[in-house]
Amino acid sequence: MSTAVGAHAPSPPSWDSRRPLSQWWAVAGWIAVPLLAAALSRDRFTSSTLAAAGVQGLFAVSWVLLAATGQPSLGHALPYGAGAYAAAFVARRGGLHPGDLGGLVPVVLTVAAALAGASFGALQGRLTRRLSPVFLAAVTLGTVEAAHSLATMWTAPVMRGVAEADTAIPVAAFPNDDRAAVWIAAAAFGAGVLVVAALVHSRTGVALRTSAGDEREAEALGFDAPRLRLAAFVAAGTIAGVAGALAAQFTGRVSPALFSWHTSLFVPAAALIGGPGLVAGPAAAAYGIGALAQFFDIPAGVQVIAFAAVLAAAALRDPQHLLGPAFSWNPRPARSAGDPRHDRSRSTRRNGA
Amino acid sequence: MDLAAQLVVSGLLAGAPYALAAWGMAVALSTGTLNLTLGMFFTLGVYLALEATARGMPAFYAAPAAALAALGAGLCIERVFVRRLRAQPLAAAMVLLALAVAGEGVFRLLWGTAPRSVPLKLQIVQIEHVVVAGLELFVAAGAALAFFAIVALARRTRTGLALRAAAENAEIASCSGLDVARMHMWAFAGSCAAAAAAGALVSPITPVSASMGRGALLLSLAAVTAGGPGLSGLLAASFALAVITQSSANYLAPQWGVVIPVLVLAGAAAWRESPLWRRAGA
Repeated sequence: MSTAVGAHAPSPPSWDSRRPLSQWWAVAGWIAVPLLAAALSRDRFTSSTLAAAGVQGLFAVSWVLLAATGQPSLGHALPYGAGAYAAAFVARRGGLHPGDLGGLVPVVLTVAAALAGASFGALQGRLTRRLSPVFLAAVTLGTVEAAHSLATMWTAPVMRGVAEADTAIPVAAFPNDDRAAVWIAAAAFGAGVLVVAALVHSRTGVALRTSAGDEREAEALGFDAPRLRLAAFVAAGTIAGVAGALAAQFTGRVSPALFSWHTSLFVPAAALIGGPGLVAGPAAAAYGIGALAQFFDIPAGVQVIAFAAVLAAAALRDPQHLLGPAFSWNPRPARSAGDPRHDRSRSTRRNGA
Repeated sequence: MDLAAQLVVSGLLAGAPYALAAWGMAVALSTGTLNLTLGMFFTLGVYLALEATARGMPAFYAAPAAALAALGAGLCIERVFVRRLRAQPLAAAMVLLALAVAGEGVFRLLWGTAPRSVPLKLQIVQIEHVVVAGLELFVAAGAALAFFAIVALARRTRTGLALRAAAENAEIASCSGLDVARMHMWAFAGSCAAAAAAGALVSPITPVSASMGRGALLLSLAAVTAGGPGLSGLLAASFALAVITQSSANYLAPQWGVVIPVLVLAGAAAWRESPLWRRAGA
């Protein structure tokens, strides 16, 4: 069992706290797997596949922070794409190449991407702060659609051999060596999983989880729920922005496809496969899906239908706890009837009461 | 000045079908369902109009057929998916989104990815300095006709009264002997039918693509959010959005046609929560 982050309850569910050590083993394992894979990869194709998978895993693990606070964003592609575009914008406007500034250009671009991701995450958080989960999902999906439209307005010399050739923006690729890329991606993935796992198990994590439930209960416990939910958006956006910057530099381009529904639905689908109440689960699922999609070159159109099918299956299977800690593909534990921790109708923060 | 007047008139005429689609969204929301398949049915209407013109018929002839097809499909979707998830709005929305994504995939498979257009040439009418294509007048007239038929159904018939009662307060309606589940099913199906009819009507004045329904979906959501629960507010918001979208696409870039509704949607949602949203989000 992986590390669990209850989406509704101040305290983790009992099934989750039986063997806390094993949860950390899962985190450690999923940090080790990409590093081991990086060490074993020999050819360019495997390396680029694993690098892409690492970036996807990092992107997915950031969404866990939103799930933990009960915010089912379907627009997490916004901070991800914004990070990638920020890196491209800074690189092109500044005329920067990887060797400039004493070799610190990739760091500068990643910091710019993190700031952009945080800003757009904050924007989404502000816009959706009073909305119920269903409308939060709809509005965040709308923001991605708008970003996609805006992204098509920035054009550059046509890039041959890539999708959306007329709107793809070339970015100086970093690193030149695929083997280095896979190590960087694995390290970023591991760091992301560790940071998110540590965060959700810290005192801040308890506060974040509390903010997912009743606002008045959170206030009674001394937590500022709206601020915590906004903080979750900012933190998740920051990590997604870093993932976007890495994706842009590894592939050597950015394109409006970064803001597609495919990218948006990928993260919740990975989380639902891995278990939305977990940290290592979604990261592992995203890593696996990313690697498979890259290895078999599955078209984005097919992937998005598969992701949508996962969302539908999860919604039909356990509609009451779509984002709750109880959902996973494993048999779920029995819940006592009338468990107030799972009673979403008691939530008052989104109904204006 | 002439251009501004031209854009306002064109926007108002083009806004009529979108108002119809927005009404469909409002009806679904009033029964507690966020109908994310609305864009899919809008696109279905457009493609049926495309098929009608390919067989030598005017595009508008497709509107009743599209509405009927969407009504049937909407009834099935409500019965199979939405009804069992009615108490879980997020789960229902996820399932409807999945259906919408799958529908887009089917449209791409059937009609390809290249943008198309529905041919329909009509005379041009000039009033002072404002030029109105007969095409736009037909679109607006068709939408107005459909709208008045729906309003008459809702306000003048017992079925309409029952639908409104079920939407207003399901518990009291149920106590008075109404089959609320059935009413909700018809409301959802009516929402799908309105979107399909709107798509068929708007098809001659807009480029056709598999993903065009997303824009209609966002515009409907924005109109419902900004316009509030009343019919007049909904109509005002729909027409205002159509004019603004048309103008921004003309003065700035076509991409703003998608961005503006999202800005309105997000801004209105952040400013105040619509009573309809509250009903569907509980």
